[in-house]
Amino acid sequence: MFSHNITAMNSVSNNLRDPIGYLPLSPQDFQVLMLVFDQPLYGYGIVKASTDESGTAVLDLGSLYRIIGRLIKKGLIEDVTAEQADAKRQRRYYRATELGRRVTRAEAVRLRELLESEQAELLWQKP
Amino acid sequence: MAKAVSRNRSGKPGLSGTWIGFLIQSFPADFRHEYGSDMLKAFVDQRDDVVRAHSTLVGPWFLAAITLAASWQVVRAGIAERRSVANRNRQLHRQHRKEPMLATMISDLRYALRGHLRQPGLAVIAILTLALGIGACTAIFSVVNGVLLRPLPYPDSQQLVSIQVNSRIGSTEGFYDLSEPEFLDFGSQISSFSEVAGYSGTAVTMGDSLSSRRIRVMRTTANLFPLLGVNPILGRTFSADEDIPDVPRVVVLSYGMWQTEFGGDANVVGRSIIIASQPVTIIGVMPAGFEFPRPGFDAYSQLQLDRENPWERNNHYLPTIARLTPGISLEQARNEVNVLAARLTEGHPEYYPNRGLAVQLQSFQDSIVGTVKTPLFILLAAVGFVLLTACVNVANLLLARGEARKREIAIRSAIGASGGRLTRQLLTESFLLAGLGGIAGVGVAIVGVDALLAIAPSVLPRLDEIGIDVTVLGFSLAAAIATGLLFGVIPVLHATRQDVQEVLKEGGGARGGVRSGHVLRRALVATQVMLAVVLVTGSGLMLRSVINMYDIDKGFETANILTFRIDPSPSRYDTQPKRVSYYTQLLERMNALPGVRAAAAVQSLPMTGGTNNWSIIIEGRPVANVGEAPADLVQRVTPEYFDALGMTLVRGRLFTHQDDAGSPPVVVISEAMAQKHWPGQEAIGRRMKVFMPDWPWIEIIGIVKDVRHRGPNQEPRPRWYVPHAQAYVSAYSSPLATTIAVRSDSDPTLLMGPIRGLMAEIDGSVPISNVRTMNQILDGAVGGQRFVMTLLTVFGVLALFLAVVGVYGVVSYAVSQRTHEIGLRMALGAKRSNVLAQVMREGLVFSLVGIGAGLIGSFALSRTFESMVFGITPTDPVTYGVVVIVLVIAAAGASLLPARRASRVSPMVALRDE
Repeated sequence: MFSHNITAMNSVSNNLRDPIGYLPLSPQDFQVLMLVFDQPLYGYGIVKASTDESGTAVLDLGSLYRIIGRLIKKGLIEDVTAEQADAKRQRRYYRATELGRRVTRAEAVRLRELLESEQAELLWQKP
Repeated sequence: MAKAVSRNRSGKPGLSGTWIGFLIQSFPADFRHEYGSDMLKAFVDQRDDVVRAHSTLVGPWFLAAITLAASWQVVRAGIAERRSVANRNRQLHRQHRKEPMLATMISDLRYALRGHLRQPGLAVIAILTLALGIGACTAIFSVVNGVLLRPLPYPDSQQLVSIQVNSRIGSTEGFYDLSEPEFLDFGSQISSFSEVAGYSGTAVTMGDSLSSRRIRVMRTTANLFPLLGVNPILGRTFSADEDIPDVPRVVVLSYGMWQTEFGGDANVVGRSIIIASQPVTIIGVMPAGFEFPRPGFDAYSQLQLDRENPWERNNHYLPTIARLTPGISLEQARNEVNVLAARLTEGHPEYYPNRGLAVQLQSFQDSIVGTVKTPLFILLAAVGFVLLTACVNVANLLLARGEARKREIAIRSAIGASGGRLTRQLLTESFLLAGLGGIAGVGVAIVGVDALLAIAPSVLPRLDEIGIDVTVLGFSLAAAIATGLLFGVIPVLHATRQDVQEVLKEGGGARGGVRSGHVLRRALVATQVMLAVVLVTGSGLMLRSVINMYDIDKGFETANILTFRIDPSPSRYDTQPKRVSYYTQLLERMNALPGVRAAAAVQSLPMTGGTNNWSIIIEGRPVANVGEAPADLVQRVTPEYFDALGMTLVRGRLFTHQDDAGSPPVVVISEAMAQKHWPGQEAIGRRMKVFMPDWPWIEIIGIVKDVRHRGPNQEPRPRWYVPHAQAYVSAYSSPLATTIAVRSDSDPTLLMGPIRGLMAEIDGSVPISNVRTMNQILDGAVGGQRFVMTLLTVFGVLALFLAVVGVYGVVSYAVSQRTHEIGLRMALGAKRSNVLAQVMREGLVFSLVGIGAGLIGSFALSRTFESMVFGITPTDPVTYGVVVIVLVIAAAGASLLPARRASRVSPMVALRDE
């Protein structure tokens, strides 16, 4: 239904403050941004929150901090440790920035449009 | 229980945490610094959660599982992060590298060129100094390369080995050629050798009675050419079927002979020539450059060894070469050869007494060049010192220039040039000088190589392979780069470490001087003095050695003696009495020529090669076999020999013309031989004989002074002489080919004309060759040492000159910086002589430091000279003393001029110049 040309939109937006410039996000980046969208979480907290219904963590310890480092560099999440009351645990807390939230929404829109496209209808048909 | 466990562990890293903490090292340092502790805390949290969630029983298993999983995750992510950072850096580097690098290099080069053109004098001096140093180094390296480093011009030449033996008969040291039975044994019983070939050089007469000349022929086994891997360019080499006795002789020409004698005729194969009065067919021509085993052989013919009836096992005359079987090392071959040697010793105890047969295997290249390795490497090191001295000189020049440019460098630094940028700029200036010096150095090297070849002694092997090739040019390039770095780095370090603020405040030039600059320059000049001392000491040692070699009592004279080789035809003089009759007639008439003091024939003159070492029996001392018999060197001579060579009779009498085949056999022995066999007793009247049965006893009638036959620096060995006319009845045979020695009261070369006329009258078919005086022969024998001495002297003088210039430069500069201070002192009453003395003292102090260091260095290096000095020790105090005196005088002289300038400073002018 909505068949925006995502590629064309990407190539047009050179401005890094424009969320479109950060798309497409990798699935793991998207997942982390979603988890810290509106609440600060520390490292293990993010891993725990990514655990699926069967109890398997989708994000592992090794790659998590690479993702965090990448997202901080891009300005999509920030270190909000100082704001946390539970300072005695001395964990670093992360939360999406304003830009990060806009980018997450933009990615969600992109994915929704992809799933609602004519091509995606094939996925729902019985073989 | 679970609570107790989790409470203890909770929050603390513990063993598992420590392990994960260690694995976090797999991340790059920056990342670890930022997130390392967070990662560890996250693991601890996760671990504690898991442990808490399970009972004490299974908790540890889950702990282990989660630690294992985390280990894998951390290491994998760490490596991925490192790869990612490396990729990012590579891309960044690639972006920044392209144009800017090239652009800065070009601008540096332009700037350097402009700078040098502003001070062309300094640049020219520097380039010339470097050209001399690099050129000399390159020239010497070309010799080392051609003689020592370049592999022999045969395929897989490193697989070629030379075989030599010592049968331990007599007390001869060292190793020598094989006998025919030994050659056959090695050829058939050693699997480590794929081929074994023998060769023996000889001189023969080519042509007929109307036009004959001597040529040198190498007789070889048929497999020599396949062994060496060289094919003829025309025709073929001889086959194994032709290499047996009584088969007609054939000959393969050398390329040189083919060109000079036959004009490069393409149809020469099949032609017949006369050699030793016999017709011989030419079957092939070898390619240009094939000169086995050394240059000078005109043709190759069959050895025709009688494999069924080889000569005596103790007749060692056959040089032998072998090729290692592919895959076999020299060490393995040595082991197998030693086993064979033990077997032969057991099988032939009469021929291998005492410790038994010893065998030496060495690479064929080593057997050719081994003796010249030490002197050549000494020369290479010495010329390296000269280059170092040149580098120090140029470094000093640049340091001085750097002082004058301090302000310029400080300004550039102040406006933003980084240390690295400045270093690159200054090094470019150095490399430009070094590059131009290197190019000019190649020109010096070309001239140098020609000069070296002109003075090179004939004992230097592979002379024809010395030249400037790609390897030598590569060395020249490397030398230029190393030189540029060496002399460039010191001024660069000095310039870039100065305090920018201080320099900008100073204003003007470097008046007053930076102390560190002075100290550095003096240290450099002291280094030059040190190197000069080492080189001058080396040349002094060689000079004294060469003088000793000329001065030592050799046991014979060399002045006014002419020598030449003659080789009468074997077919014409086919009996011993005919030979004796020819020589008797020839020498009788030669001795009657006006101007001839004495003329004689001998097998081999002193300093022209080895003599035969024959086994003998002393009367009253029977031996069971040849292994137990003593062996000594023998010469067969005509009666005037001792007179012709100015030898001294100690006791008894010398030969006369009455000592011939019809009279009792007699022998004259040397002092060393008398001492060896009859120590403390009278040898005159004793008797001895050659080892073979049916030969008569010979009576000792005279004792002569020892002769240094092998060379002035070789100790004399026991020697016995038999009359040529008697030799075929007392000592196997009277030789046909001999060397004639003619002593005159004046220039002996004037006698050659009459001698040739005389010989033509008696027998015009006898060719004369190798005409030279004894003095020329002596020069040749000392040639090696003289070569080293000449070069070391040149280097020593060069280094001394550079050191003197260095001392002069430093003292002169110091004086120019202190003119104001000197003027002040003189105005306050200091005498001119005081100023002179002070400046000279300062100049001498750091020179003395250099001299001291140089003496220590010479002492440390003295062992390398041990094999080359003669008549003195390598730490000869006289030489060292003279060197010190020379250097002190040189340093004093270098300081004198600037000291005099300083003492003439006008106080008024100096003080006015504020």
